[in-house]
Amino acid sequence: MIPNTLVNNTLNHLEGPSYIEERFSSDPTWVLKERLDAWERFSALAMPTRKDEQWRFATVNRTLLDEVELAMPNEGLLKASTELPAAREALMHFHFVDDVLVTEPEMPEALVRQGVIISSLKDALIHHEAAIRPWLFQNTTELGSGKFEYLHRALVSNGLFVFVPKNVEVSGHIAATYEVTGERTASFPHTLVVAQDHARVQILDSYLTASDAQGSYVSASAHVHVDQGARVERTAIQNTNISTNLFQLDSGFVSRDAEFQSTAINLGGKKARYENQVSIEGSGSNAKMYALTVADGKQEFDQRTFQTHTAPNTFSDLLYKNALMDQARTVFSGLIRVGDDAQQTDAYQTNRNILLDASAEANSLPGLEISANDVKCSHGATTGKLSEEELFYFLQRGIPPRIAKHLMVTGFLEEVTEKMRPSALRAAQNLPSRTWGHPLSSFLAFR
Amino acid sequence: MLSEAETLNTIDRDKGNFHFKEDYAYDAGVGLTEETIEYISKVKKEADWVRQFRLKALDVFRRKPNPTHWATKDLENIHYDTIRYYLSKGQQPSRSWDEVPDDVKETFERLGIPESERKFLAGVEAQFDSEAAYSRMKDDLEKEGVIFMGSTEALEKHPEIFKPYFGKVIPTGDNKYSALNSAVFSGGSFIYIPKGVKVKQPLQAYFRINAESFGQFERTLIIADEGAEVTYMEGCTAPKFETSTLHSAVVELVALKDAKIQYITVQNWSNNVFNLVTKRAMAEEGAEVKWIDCNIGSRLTMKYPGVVLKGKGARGEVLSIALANDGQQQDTGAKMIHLASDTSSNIIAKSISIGAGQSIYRGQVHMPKDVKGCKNNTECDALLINTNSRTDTYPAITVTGEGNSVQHEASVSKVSAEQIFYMMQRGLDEGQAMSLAVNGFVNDLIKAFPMEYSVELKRLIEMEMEGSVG
Repeated sequence: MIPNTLVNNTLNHLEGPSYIEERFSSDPTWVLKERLDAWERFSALAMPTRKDEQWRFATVNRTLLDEVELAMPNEGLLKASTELPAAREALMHFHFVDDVLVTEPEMPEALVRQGVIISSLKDALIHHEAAIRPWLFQNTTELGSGKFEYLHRALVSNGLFVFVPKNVEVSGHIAATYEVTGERTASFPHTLVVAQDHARVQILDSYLTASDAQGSYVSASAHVHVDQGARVERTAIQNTNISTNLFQLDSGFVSRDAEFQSTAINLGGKKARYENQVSIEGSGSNAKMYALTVADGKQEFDQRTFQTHTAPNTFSDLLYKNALMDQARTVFSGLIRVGDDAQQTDAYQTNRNILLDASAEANSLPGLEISANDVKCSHGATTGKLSEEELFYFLQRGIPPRIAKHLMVTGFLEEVTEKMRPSALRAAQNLPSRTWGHPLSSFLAFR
Repeated sequence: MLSEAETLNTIDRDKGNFHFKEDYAYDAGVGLTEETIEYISKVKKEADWVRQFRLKALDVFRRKPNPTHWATKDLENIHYDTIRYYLSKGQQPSRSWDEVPDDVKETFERLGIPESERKFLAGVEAQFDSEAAYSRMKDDLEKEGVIFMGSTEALEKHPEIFKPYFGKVIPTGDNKYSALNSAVFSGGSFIYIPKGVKVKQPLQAYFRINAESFGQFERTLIIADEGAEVTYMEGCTAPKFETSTLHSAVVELVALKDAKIQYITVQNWSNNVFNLVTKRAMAEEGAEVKWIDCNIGSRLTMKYPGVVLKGKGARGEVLSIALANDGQQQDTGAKMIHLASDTSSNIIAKSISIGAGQSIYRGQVHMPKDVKGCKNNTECDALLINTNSRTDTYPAITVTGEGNSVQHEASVSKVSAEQIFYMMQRGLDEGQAMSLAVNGFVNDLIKAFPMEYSVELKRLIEMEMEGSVG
């Protein structure tokens, strides 16, 4: 347990401004101002309800912010709970426990010379203030969780900042693992990536909670800026314990001729809300958004996506696949918006759900808003069960039903896993398993 | 076959755009209060339960906000206090065209109604503002026990048949506009098809708004008893007035065991009509309900025909065509609620947006926990003609239960340059080529309409396409 100096001081009862001024007194003044401003906005916004269009079908816990407290970690007590697979193959690995960095990643000398910055957010505010200032806190979710995003902004204490200058290619991936160990504790992981023109970089973020960290609140945010001709891949793996309330509020900005791939693996959490918006704003750019979710027990995965095309000759593709068991629920709500000027856009959106039990529930709201006429846009959503014929084939070959179903789900998810880099996939495969019978990561096929 | 030019010459493109001077015996005045309702109820000599039903609905209507959190803000431009809610000449529906007042008769003659009746209909009702001016059904159907009459007459003469289902498929509080209709409804068709009776030719209703600032609120209830079959068609027009007009209908269909109902709408209101219609069917075991819905006119249409699949093995279908031109918003779609096992549904929606027109598909498919083996297929295709045309798609799909499956697909495209080039190279001009391509886009769906309607539809689409190219 981590001693908490704010006993009985839940997020809703926090004296925001005075707490922020004290806790973040060493921040540059502009950051402090942003935080206070964000707190004000957070306080002014009402908790969402299911009647809000952007929360349709979601289960909203109105008292969520009365239940969690802020972590005030004692840094001396912290250490990484396990040797993490993400660390093994990473160029650099940042391991945060309750928002405190517990590893000392070393930057390769060659990258330092090329002007690359790979730093914890805390250090970046001290050593790289000029580099981070144009990017930090510039973007807000448009998908419904504004209140939670402002709270994140007011209270975020650490995270990862990656800045890759023009024409620099970072080979290998940079990993950040965010782990929560305290009970009913709030954590605010933040990832900020800037790839300047023609730069290349890969990021792997993992979100975990220790199994005895009951009822934690993880509100993560990741913003990725892909400048002209640059290429960024970001994978987010989420395997928190099943008492965690999780928000992942992500955004991506893709400039001319740039490429961005965002991949999410969603396994954990009690209620996990994932908002992912990508703004495709440069001609010739290409954005891909992939996600796979394995939901069981009483888990709820609530996924909201937004592909905005504002420039001509752009491409985007989204594929979200969900496998549901027990009484699990998923919501996929996606929107493609093609602006008046975004002619010659190709935009696709696909959501596929597979129901393995009669009490699982999949909701699908694939949306299109198209204001340009010379476009190719389509969406598809399907929900169904495993194919009887395929199952019969397995059984007839002597493979027992349990294994056959497992293989079929693995096959169903492979369409997403095959789009991942082997190193990211291996990190997901070797995730510490939760407390149930088989590790969910076994659904992720080896290649 | 007629050539393109001849086809266009033979039809009157503004055939709905005329109106006669107003001389009404009954006029509930402007605005909506309890007195308006008392007045309507008194003129109609209604039973007390109907009056109470209306008053309760008014209360619900007042409490419900406009659904502008998901629908267009244009709804705020409806000024309920400037609308006239009931206008009639005090006419009883005539059984013969000769008895219909001259100006009303001329209206329907210009729209070609008596002619179509002679040609292919089993029964016709023609509604002029609030009440039917003409209502007639073939004698043999009457002998078989088929009932086809207006809402007031039906609730008065056959309450035992209609009262149990009235307001049950679409409750008053379903939405703001169903509440409004429940408060001030007048006219529409109440139909009962007895057990096993299969009506081979369609029954038709024709709705006409003649007076300015008038709101039409017809109410339709069709009950097909076990094994019965019926096809019902409705058409609507209004003149182009300066001020906008409101049309808000409620249509309830009840298909009992193994019954079949087909409901066809060709909506061609003028471009100042707010068309806010609630349509829903209930399908019992083995029953089949098909909505064929075509929206060409109106300023704003919001209409999502639905089928509640209540009995095992019931089937629901919605085929929808929407055409949105400058200044129009066609917000249409479908709802399929699967409440019993082995039910299936199919939705095919095609929309065309021309100029600054906006078409929207909004749909709902719901399969709850305790049903098994249900299937839904949804296809929405949108065609955008001009660079400023717009289309949106918002489906909502919920699936749980065992062995249920849903597939939804939507696509947005424009007419391909290759297609146009091919046709022009064969000697068509660009406008003709575009028109032909658009007709090709909706052709599969148009084939599902009865012949007379599909010809009319193709012409209407051709007319709307004119001047959209270049």
